[in-house]
Amino acid sequence: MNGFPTFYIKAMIKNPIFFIYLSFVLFFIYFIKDSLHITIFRFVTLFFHGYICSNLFLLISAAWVISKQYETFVFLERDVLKKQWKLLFSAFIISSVVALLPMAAMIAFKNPLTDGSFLWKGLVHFFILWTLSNMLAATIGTTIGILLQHRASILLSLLLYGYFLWKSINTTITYQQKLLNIFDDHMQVMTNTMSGTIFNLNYFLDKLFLILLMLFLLLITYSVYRKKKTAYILLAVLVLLAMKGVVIYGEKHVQKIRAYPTAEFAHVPYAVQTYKMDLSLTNRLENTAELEMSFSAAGDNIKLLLDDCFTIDSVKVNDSLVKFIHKNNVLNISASYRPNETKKVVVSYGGDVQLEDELGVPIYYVTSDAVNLPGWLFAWYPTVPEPKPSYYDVRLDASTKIYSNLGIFTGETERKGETSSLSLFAGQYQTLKDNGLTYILPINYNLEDFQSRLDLLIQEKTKEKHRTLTTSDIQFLQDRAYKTVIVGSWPNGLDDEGLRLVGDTLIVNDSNY
Amino acid sequence: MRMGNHLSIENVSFSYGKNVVLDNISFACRDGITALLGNNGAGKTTLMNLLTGLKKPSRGRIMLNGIDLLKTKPYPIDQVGYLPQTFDMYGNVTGYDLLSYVFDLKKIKTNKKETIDEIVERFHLGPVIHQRIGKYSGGYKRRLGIAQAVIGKPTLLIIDEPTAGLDPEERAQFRSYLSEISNDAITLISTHIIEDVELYSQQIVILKDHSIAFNGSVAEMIAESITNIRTLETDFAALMDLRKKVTIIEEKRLGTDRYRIRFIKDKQDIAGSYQEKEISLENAYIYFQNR
Repeated sequence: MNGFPTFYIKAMIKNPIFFIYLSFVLFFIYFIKDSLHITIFRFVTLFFHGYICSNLFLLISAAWVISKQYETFVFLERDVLKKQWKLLFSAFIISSVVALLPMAAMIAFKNPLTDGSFLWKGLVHFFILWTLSNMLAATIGTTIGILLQHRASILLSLLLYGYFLWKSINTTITYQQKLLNIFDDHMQVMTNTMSGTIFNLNYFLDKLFLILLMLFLLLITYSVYRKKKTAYILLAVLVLLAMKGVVIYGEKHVQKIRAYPTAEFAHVPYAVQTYKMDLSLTNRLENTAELEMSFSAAGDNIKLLLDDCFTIDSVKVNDSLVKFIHKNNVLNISASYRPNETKKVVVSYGGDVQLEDELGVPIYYVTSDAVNLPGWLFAWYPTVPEPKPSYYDVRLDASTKIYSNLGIFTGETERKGETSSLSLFAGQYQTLKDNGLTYILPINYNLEDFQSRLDLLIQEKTKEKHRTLTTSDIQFLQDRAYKTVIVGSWPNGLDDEGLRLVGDTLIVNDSNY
Repeated sequence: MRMGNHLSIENVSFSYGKNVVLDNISFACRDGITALLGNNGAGKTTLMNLLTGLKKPSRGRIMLNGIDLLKTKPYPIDQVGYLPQTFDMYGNVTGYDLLSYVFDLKKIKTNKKETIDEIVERFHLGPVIHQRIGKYSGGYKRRLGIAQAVIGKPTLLIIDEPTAGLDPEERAQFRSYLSEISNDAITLISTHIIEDVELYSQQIVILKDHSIAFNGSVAEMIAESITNIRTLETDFAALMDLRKKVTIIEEKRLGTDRYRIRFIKDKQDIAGSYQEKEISLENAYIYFQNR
């Protein structure tokens, strides 16, 4: 078939190295297949050596094939850049076909509780990581092969690839360094089981950076072999600038966790009595929060915590639009109040929730199938630090099942109840019942194991000198008086307890396990 | 009546900076074998590179059947077949893979399988065609080389040293392939092996000092040189003396202190020398290189 690079595919795979490569891939699949019982995403991150093996094969074979300057082909294939594209296409086909092996293993050995959407996400995530790193390796191999037209190009290609590999295996926290990681930001760290990989802005920028890097390498060959050299050099410079643009844009826009200025709220003369929310969770959060507030002193400014990831559409006080300033995670509302007065404050806002820690692990997020909004730590609705219990009336429209300390939301549901904060969770969860208790745990958790670890954690909390849990809380926990246990996720540095009792719901941090 | 193909090289010059490699070369050829002869550095390889479009002349043009070969974009690889002197290939692909790929590259319109099968049969590649090229003997590799060059029935075939490195039997076989394929194509062969030239060439072009020293048939080449070549039988002492005076093109020891030499006739005839009725093509070639 014309156009299909059968010849170069054969030239690349009909050799012992290809079979060694396949053997290694199969070995790595076998070696880490048990990680699929945790989650499909754990397998994707642990398959690190498989990616390197595949990258090396494609890099060496592409560099070898293109560096061979057979006179017959010099005559027949005059356009060396066309040949490079053929080789890149061949590398893509080989990469895609071999990818079927680990992908088949992912389907065959996956945790049986893996939901279809997470399976697809895992497969797509794997394919993207696998393909992009393979294509970068092939681009390095062909570019250096074309430029040197010598066997030594293999060695030089390996050196350049080695640089990116070194950048990828060293866990770095600067944004630019992370972009140079050709795999995934958190390749070697334990990632969030419940959310899996989130295809957010950071993910998109990370992959865009790699594509620009490949484009830059290709433009180098174009500037050497094409007549309009200056134009290609200019394009290469533009691509370099675009790469720098990605760094600047990413550093500015990728959402990071920032500490809230809780000290500013030390003596605020107001409290929220009731919350009425009209909440929508799709790939973003949209909310109209109606707060009934009571005031104990006079003032002209209402200050509430609300994370900067949200954009506020409007703020009304007693049905009148008022001025507001939203910065540093604080919403300042211009409204005067007197003692013993109550006011109705309505805040309409929305935004993407894609907060990550320094390693790129998702912390607070809202996607179509994964949600992690611990209300006492993350100000996803207007609140004050360490609030007193309020009455919540929440109407929630979500594309997936949402677990909360007010109960479970499915589709469009309304839940009411009194609580100090509202936390919402969704993702790769299993619901288990034991002795009248409901456990909402990540799919890789074993209930007995979890219970014994939880007992141990509670025991530790009892012994701690500077514990923040009250004696009645400890007793409550020891008596297993809670009704629901939900595992969520939050950074250890923000809440050292590792667990949070919200009414009769015990929320446990996943990082304890 | 078949018109046949026509190649004309018109006033072609090529230089590397100030170093002139080809200086105002002109000749024409038709279907059949044209042998391109010349010593190392005469410009044969450069002329081949110009014909294959891999280099551009500083002056002149190359016309194939009325079309300017060098101005045609892209270069018409479907009309020109090329077999380089060192035909090498990825050792891990099969001969069939290669022929199939060349078929695709030349964008040939005929049925692919039938065309390749016919070529495989024509060049007796059947026993090895599905084997890896790395396993091919020198002879099979050369046959595969010519097979890829003729695929698609090009009108011009450019072949560099076709029989170099082959044993006598393989050479004979290869000569017959060349004779066969040259019936319908201009076949330009660069070679050092004069014996082959004598056996299959209709036309000979000799390059010397970057220009054409001879252009004609084998018979014309011999006829033009025979009148200028003399033969003499002599002893060793006289031979030593003659070496300083004339250009000797052949020396043969006949017995103790007896030698027969052939040399290029100078203005003054040497006593006892005579013109032979027959000379070899090699003698004629050396004459053109040294006259």
